[in-house]
Amino acid sequence: MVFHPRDPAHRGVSRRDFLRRSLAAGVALPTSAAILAACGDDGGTTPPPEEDDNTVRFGTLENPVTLQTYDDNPPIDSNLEREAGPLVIYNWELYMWKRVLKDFAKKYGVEVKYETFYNMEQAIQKFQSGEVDVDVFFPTIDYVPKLAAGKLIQPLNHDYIPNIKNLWPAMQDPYYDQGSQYTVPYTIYHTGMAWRTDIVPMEVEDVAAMSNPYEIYWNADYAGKVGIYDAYREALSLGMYRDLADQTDLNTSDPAVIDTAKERLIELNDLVGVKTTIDGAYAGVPEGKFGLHQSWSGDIQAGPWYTSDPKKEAGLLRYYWPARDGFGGTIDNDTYAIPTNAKNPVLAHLFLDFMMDEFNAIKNWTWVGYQVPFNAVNPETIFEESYPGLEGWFVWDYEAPAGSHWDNLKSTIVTEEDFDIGKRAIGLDVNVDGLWQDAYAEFKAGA
Amino acid sequence: MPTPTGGIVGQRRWYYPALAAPGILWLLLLFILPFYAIAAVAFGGRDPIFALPIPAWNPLEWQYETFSTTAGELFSSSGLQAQFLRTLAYVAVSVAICLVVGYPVAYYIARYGGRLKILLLTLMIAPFWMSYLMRMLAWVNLLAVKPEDPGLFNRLLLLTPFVNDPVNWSSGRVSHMTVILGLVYGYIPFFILPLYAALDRIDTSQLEASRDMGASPASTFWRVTLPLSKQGILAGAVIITLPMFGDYYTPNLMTASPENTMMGNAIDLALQGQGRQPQGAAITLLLSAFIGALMIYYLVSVSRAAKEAQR
Repeated sequence: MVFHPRDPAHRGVSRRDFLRRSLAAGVALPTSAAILAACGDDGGTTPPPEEDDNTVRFGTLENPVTLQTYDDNPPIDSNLEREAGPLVIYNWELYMWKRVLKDFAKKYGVEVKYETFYNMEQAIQKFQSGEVDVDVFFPTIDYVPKLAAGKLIQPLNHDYIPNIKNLWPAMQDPYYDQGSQYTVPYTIYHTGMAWRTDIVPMEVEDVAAMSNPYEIYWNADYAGKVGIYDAYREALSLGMYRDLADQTDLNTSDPAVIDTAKERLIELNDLVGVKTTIDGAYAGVPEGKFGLHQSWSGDIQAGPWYTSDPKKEAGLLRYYWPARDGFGGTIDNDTYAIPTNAKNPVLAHLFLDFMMDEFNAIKNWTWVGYQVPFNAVNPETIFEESYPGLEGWFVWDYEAPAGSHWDNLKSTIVTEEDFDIGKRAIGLDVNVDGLWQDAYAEFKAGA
Repeated sequence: MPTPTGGIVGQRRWYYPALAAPGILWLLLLFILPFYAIAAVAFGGRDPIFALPIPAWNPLEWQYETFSTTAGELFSSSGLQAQFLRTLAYVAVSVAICLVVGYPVAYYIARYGGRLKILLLTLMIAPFWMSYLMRMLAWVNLLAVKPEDPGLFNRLLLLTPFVNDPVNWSSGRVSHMTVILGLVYGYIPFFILPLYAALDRIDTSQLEASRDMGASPASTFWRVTLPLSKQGILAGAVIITLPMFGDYYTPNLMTASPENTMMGNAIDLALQGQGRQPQGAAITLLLSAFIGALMIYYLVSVSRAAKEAQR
């Protein structure tokens, strides 16, 4: 647990210290534009900051960032005995297969508990307030620099994670955390659109042929059947893609652009009565409650499980990510991190290494539906050849016609090349973030 | 040295406050302190990294900018104002429907339930042994329209001559009805129970006196039964109005549409968002002030009724 008042000396920071440092950092906290500017224009890596620098640094693809490490927040030593547990995982609901957790529990003879959060904001709040006491956390990348600067997560000791070599090379050295000092990647996904062809009678080629595929949402023919994620960055980004396509800046601080995106969403609401959900893509579309929904690739990949009759309905599902045709699109990855005050840090490192094992990671993918960025995954053959020992386990095999797969879901596979063309949403400073949230609140008010 | 009488008086002086102490402590711990915490957040600051709230426990350090901005939004053309007016409309219509639907039920059980009173009350409450969430999800599925399946509710409607096509209950103007349906279904037992208690307490000799004086059954109802049950109506209305004003899960579950969001949704969104907790706390305070005004009306009304009864 971070900043637990009963353990103020642990790793040298108390809640009061944190707030004082936060305020001090706030004085120096630049705007996102300034942060980006500070990262340099030469496309090189931002140099490691000074030891006592608490400034939050958001890396970009052009300007990767090496996060600051602190003497009072060191990684654990090598060759330590593992703790007795129980290991507590703190993750999104249904975002990890319990069977894989049981495999870990069996291998190390420990109990594994799985606790969930609703969204990242709630998770961070519980972290800071000390409500949760966990060993492994799954932050989104926009929060990683803040968590590191706030010393809420601890640097990793890579001696315990040799399996990190199994990741795509770029994922071993990500732009938001060069050298994977604090995090290792968990899953990868892009944000596209998912639909059922019996409600939205279009094929992927038809959508790709539109002047801007994002316009598909603004179609009154689908009124009452359209949904977007109840997540302000994703929702407003859709409004931006609608106008700006590949020119969209997912991290804009321009109030006019944010306001226009909000107006686009309000138009969308007026036109089709759009709904905001979290489960609309992975459950709502497959169940037929939605005809079209903004969708993370991993959400719709799990779609066949949620259809009432996969043999009849899984083949109706479609997924499209417009970035592959030059219209812009969001791509992202989630991460594993270990909280600073984890009670079982060695066990947590072992868990990370366990999940960096190809078989375990891909086994987890077969259930979660979210892909893992491993060298062993060949996007060209994973549908047909699967992974040794996991043949028939993937969702695209689930009740598919004999000898075939749900090839309509093939576009949900994320490739290394997708990361070259996809846009990344980085963390925003609090004032810019406030602009985004206020705009989303106005849309959500249904004014 | 205290006399025996003085000792008894002294004991009595502490007897009733001591009995009230657990309740007062309960209120203090579970209402006043949390409410003060909300005020401290509404008038506090935010940390600059995660934008999480930093409560201002000392009133001398309170900052009023967030509160005044939020209050300004409520009194100007804004999303928050739209949500407030929508909430008012939803609650008013829902309470009215609860009254129209619930009064005859309570009246029947109180006046004609006879030996079946307990059974009827139990049957009325029985569905509410299930969680609110499950009951709302059941409605979602009853109303859901899927390809080749218009949903059970629509199937029934399609049997009538009034409906030709399946209705999409979660979209458009009809979605307002859907949310109101959810609110009424969710809260109506809590309206009926106090109303039943009030009706059951009415002395039947008063009704007989009215009839003996030549009043018709309708006149007896309007001039005797209804006035005597006014406190039950108000009590039921207060009991369901308070949670309805804070409700956010009913519109979330029933329609998930921005067109149907209520004040509770505005608070929920603010509390879930980074850095918007002070706004959420400010909306909570403003809503509390409004509900407080309604409560004062209720208490004054009860007080007047009590005085009239003593005459």
